[in-house]
Amino acid sequence: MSRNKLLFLGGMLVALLLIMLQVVFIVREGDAVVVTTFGKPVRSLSEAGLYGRGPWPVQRVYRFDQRIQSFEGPFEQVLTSDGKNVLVALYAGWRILEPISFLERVGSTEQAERNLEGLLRNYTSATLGRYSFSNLVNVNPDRIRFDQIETDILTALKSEAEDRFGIAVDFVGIRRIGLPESITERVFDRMRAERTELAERYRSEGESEALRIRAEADSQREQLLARAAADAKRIRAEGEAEAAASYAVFAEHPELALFLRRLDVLESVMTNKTTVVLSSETEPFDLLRGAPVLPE
Amino acid sequence: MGKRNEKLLVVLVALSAVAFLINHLLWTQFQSVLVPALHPYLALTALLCLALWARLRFARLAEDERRDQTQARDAASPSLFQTDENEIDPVSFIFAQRQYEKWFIPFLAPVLAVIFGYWSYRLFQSGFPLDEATNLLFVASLLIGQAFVFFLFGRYFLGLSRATSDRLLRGPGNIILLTALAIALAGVAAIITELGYALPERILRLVLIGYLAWLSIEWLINTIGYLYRPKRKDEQVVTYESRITALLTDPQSWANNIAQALDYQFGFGVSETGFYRFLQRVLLPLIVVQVLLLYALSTVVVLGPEEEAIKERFGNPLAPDGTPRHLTSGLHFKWPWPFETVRRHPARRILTTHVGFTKDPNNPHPRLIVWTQPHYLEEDQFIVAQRDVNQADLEDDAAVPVNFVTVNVPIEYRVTDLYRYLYRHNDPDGMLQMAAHRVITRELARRDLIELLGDERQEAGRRLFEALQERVRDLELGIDIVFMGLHGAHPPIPVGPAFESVIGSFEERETSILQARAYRNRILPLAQAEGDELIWMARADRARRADRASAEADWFQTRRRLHEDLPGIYTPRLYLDTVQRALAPVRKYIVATSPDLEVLIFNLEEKLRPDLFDFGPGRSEDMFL
Repeated sequence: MSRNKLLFLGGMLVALLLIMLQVVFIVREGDAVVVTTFGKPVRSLSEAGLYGRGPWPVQRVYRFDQRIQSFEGPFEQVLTSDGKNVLVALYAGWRILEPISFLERVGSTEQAERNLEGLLRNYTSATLGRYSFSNLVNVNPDRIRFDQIETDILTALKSEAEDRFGIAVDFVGIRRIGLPESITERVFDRMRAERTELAERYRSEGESEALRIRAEADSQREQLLARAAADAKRIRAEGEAEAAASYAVFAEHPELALFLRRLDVLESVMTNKTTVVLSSETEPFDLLRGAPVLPE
Repeated sequence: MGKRNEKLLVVLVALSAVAFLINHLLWTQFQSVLVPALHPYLALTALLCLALWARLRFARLAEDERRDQTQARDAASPSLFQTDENEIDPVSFIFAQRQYEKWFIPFLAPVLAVIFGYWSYRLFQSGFPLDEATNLLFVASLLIGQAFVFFLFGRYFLGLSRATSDRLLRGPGNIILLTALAIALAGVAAIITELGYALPERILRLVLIGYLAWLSIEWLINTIGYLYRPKRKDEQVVTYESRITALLTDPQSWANNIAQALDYQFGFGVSETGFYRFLQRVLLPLIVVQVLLLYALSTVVVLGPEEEAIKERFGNPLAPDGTPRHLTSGLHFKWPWPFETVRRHPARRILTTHVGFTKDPNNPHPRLIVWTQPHYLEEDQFIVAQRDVNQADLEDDAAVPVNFVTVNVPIEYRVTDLYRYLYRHNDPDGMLQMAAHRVITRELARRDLIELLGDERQEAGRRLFEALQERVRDLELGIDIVFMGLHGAHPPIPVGPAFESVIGSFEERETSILQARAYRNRILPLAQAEGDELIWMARADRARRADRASAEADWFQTRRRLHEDLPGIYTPRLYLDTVQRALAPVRKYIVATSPDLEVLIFNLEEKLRPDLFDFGPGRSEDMFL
């Protein structure tokens, strides 16, 4: 086969492929397709398979994803029935129910989500306004009303989304609950205060226990010392008693005892700093007045 | 020949303008992101063809004028006012051509560089517009049609340019082929985008913009080279030509260059050998066969050990009996694209996701996780209730105090029903994340923070696992939860230090108590010892007193006996001995007269000078004092 024939064959194949792409199309599982003729929707297809079509500009094919799509609403501030500000984020699972209505009224997934967001915000505010904050957060599970809130929002949302946009909302869920920034800060402050209270209690317990132990120790010390001092005093008294028993012999000759004691005192009080003025009559200085006459 | 080329160039200008308009319509109607990147290529084609048309036209008319002048000069008789041959009439085509060649052609390249450099910059600045293209197959068919037409013109121009007389057609020919190539690639990219793969289209857009910028640089380099290198007298200025583009758009020149290089390297005409000619003949069929083989390979599917797949026939995954065409790991065959396609997924692998935090790409696996420092890029805060001691007294609608908690929840899951996983939900992984968020929010809203961080943590984790399992079954996600853990439950970072301070205060309490016990342990033995000391001292005192008293009694008895044995002797002697000892160290004034008759005045403030006798030996202590 010559080069030119080969090139011609290749060109023909490419042209055939382009023509085929203009007259047939494939609907994949999970897709919804709307075919329009001169702009007018003539048929919608949801069954997977190969279908024929007219070439552009006679017919156009609009293709949408008909699987359940997740949509996440904004984290929005709403007011509960008891006047509490709360941030709530919901999500929804939706799918295209009527492809032709969807094409006519919505046109794209992004627009559908914008429309759905408006509805979701509207019914979220309205529904949560009928429930109190304690229906959202409570240690008593019987008081929590998540299921009822989600069912109420879904019921209100479902029919309107079908009628207005041709989409089915299969479920709605509360994804997240929060509090506004300023309130969150106050909650943090309270959490800190609780912890501080607990911490101070621990510290106080420690200090009081320490004080008690110290006082008890001091008390025991004082008692010990007092007991020891008493015993010591008693022992000293015994010593004095024993000494007094020995001193009884002084009573046999009290003049002599006193004389001897006076001698002791005399000797002990005389120090280098003492100045004594004595009379010459004082023994033995009376010798200064003359020698005594001793008996023969 | 000259006029035909001019007409062809005019046709090219018109064709480029029409293509530009068509593409602009395609852009406004179908929003293909690639089409704006084709605009400068079409504009460049039109501008170059227009410039070359003027150049060829001036050259042809100037040549006609020269011929007429030569004929007129030959026919006319010599006269006094005969004009000089070199003198040029300023309103002639010869003058116009010279001015065009001198002042326009050399500056065409820098002007193009500025225009298209700025255009490429603006296109790059516009980023990636949101791709909302529709009817891409129609767009592709129109683009490929355009490319084909430009290709024919380009090849024709390049063919003509091989003759020396039409050398000037080479530059526009290369640019026309470049435009054809760009448009053809855009058409192929549009088809690929229609099949669901938008990446090639985006890459091609960047390549087209980048190539335009490169052309601008090359034009500037060509101009600088032209201005500063020596030039031949009859040299034609072609600074607007691109050598890189010539290599890209004229593969025949590649082959010629390769052949010449081989001939030069081997020293003989390799390109003249039978093998080389055979290779040249079969090269194109070989490439075609390669492409066909590549297409045929789309009939073979090899699934790895972790993979499963669903085979779609014309988009339908269900067999006639209504069951999915499910493929497991191994070798499988199918009809080629577009008759059958395969959607594969690592369904046997345990997949992982997480809720409650966003990993930091710079530190995806932190090694230190503490409550007081952020360990992820972002952490979600969940509301938890607080059990109030007076809870029983609260009214039904009374708001309970709340706390915040941060939890890191890893989720491991496995695809158990690939058909549901692929076709039931548009984004099953995202839906799983949302369902997990919902389950966690609900579970934590009924928990007390301290209990959640303490003994209820395991039970809460178990309940989360069961609730999420039930939820994914309700949603028909086609997955099974393998593991869900309540990891990293902790108070938010801003209150983390307060929680740590509680632990710190607990330690402080223990420290205070232990210090007090240490004090007690220190002072009580000391007190015991001090008490013992007192007692021992008292005992010593008692013994000392008793011994002293006993000694004094003995001493008294002895002296009494001496007093009785030596009456009148012992006592006076004792007295005098004592007076002697007592008065020896002291200063004494002995008054010889009777003190009753004299008044003596002593100035005891006067410092008495010690005399030598004052420094006698000290007194021996009385042992009983």
